Amino acid sequence: MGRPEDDEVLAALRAGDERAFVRLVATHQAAFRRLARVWVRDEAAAEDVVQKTWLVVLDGLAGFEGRSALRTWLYGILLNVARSHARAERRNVSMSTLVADETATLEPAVDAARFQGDGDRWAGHWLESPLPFPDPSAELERQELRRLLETAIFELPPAMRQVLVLCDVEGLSGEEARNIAGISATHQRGLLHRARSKLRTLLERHFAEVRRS
Amino acid sequence: MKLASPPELACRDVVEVVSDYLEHALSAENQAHVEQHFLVCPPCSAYLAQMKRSIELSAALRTSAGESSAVAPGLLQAFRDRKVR
Repeated sequence: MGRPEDDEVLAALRAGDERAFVRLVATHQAAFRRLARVWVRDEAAAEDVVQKTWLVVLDGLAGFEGRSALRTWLYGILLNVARSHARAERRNVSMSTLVADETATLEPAVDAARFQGDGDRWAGHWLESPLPFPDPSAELERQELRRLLETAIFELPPAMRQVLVLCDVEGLSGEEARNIAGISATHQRGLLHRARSKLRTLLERHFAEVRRS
Repeated sequence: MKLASPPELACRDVVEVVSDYLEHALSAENQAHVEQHFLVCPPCSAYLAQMKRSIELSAALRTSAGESSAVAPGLLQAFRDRKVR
């Protein structure tokens, strides 16, 4: 017994309804590719992970008991397959090690030089206000921004990248993200904060350059 | 963690909890302190707007990728072959 919307999909899949399977794939395929890319080196490897994941899903469907949401279960499988793949590429993918490394130190979300110093009357307050991020009007600028952000996300350390992709790109709740990634609430929030802060800093620099040019 | 109340709350500390603020992950008291700070601090409000915009831009990566979502032929056959039920 699970969630009503999941039960309906599962019943159709278990009855051998091909259209239900095609719909399931269409719903999750793009997210699968993005999540796979968190862990593997290129698009071709990501595609391998995605196809392998669907086969594991097919094998597991009969035994899926609905203790978690279907999506949580699917994404969890995808991440397991992707991490095995990365392990085969001899990359360190132990979530606990990565999380420990990436949360060991806290670099400030914003450079300390942006705030008034401790001796000042308004210590810790902004020296100059941040400027709004403009909305790129031209398609070319939008594409450039998209590429910039994709690259920046890909360059985040892996645990941060994992959490940011789940929460902000895929739009999952913090709770769902930590269930899928197998991390604590404190770590999930800490990683999300760090990842978001890095991306914001990068975007701020980008828009400052655009303004200057 | 307990944040200072609004008159003493520094912008430097606010930026460290903006993500938690957006996730409603702060205690009710801290959430209220940050909320009050935003009301009287235009630079922090500008920072909050940047952060929201940054999150929107990440979310926009979800769409318009234009990638195929078709089922690979081998996969459909695998579905037919397996006893899912």
